[in-house]
Amino acid sequence: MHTHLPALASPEWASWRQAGVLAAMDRHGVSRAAVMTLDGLGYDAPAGNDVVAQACAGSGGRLIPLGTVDPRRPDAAAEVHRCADRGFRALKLHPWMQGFSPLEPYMDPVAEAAIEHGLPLVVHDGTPPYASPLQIARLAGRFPELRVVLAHGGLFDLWEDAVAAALRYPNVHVTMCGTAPGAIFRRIVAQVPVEKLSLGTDSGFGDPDLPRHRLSVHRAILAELPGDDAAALAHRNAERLLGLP
Amino acid sequence: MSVIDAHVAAGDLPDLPTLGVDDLLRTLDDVGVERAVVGPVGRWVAVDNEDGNRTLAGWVGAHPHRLAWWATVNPWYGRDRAGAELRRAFADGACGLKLVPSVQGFGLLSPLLEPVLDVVEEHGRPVYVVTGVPVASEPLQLAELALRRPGLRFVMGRSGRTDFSLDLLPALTTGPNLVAETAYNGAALITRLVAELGPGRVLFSTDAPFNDARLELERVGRAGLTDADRAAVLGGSATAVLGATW
Repeated sequence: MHTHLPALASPEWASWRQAGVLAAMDRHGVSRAAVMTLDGLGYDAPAGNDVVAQACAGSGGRLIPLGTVDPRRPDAAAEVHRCADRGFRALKLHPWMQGFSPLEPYMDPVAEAAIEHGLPLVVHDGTPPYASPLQIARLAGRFPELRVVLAHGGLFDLWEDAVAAALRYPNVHVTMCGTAPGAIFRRIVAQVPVEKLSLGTDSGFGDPDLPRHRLSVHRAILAELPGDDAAALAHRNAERLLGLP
Repeated sequence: MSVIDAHVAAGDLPDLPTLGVDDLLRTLDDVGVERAVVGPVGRWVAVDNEDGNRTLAGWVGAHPHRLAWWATVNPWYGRDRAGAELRRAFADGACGLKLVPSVQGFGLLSPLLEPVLDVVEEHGRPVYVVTGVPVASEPLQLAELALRRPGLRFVMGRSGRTDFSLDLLPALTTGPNLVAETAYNGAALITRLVAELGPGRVLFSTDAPFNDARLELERVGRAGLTDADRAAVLGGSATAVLGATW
């Protein structure tokens, strides 16, 4: 539910090949991956979206494109429509990289356009300001028809806030993705209804070894759950959020 | 190869797992860690410092060849009370001071901390600081403290997680008295830490039971270190930095 394309200026992008990514997913036992931009969060959102579309095309549905918009721009809603029209399955927003607060009024047209197309907002969380889970959850509170995913479950210190947000707002979901110890992920699983949870590795961002480590942590947790719950956490919830068959 | 875990957590936190000393030793055995340094968490850090310090001293007293311990004092107890408890803990065998600024309620650059650090420096011990919580314990705040206190050695506990991973190397390379730990870092970053700081300034740690000790050990194995560097990170550096006698 959470991977990135490398930054275009990085050596990782120079060597990025779709076939190599799909082979790595096979090695790690990953069927499908939600793909997000990095560059589009820092530079030009539409250009980042174009690269995501190209990178995911021809993957047989295994790489799921997620778009982004710069909420401060007056044409942000138009870019939401463009993402929906080209088959993107959700929108990723990153308050500290994109320099916005989820509480500000320019979020309204973005949220309304996302609702119109049934696209969830996947929002980086866990980093104050302006990416605290409860700040993001207020956006979900103002737009009950909008599905909002806390992309990191509070990241580490704010995991209790992420749990509170998921319990308070029916339309807040949580992806367990990031540095938090396995013990914290286990508490999230114990406290949040399982149908609201999904898994992510942040692959493509940061240390290239992290996906392997994080999948090991996730698999240990999946092995402790009843089969239906494990399937929900491992893929069904993400499929439902992203509207996948 | 002797493996030393420079930080495992001891004590109760709401909702999170805890290990008694017997379970801790079993966990270490399962993973192949010979020795570990236990550090207090929860109320032992926030308010009941002496209770935690005495409990951990008891664990170490019963298993002197397997365990060492970080003592803590809350600087808000003031020069006299905090200083007295820290001196008592060092006399009782603590290998260093652990601080958790976000739990103990102070900023790393607060003058409140100075009298406590004076006691640590008198004893020539290291200081383990849990970093990563904005305002109270950012990596660059610890780097500034290390510049102010060149006579002390500081371990960058938790490596600034989360979300100060970008600050980690700029902070750790500020001065020679800053030491890294491996927990929470990916294999490639562990490689870089060793390259930039030298293996003598990188300590293997797990932060078990919050993390799975086996997975933390495995990713050090994937860091591609030379045998000599890996031996230092997994144990030699900790022996030198902590001055632990086991």
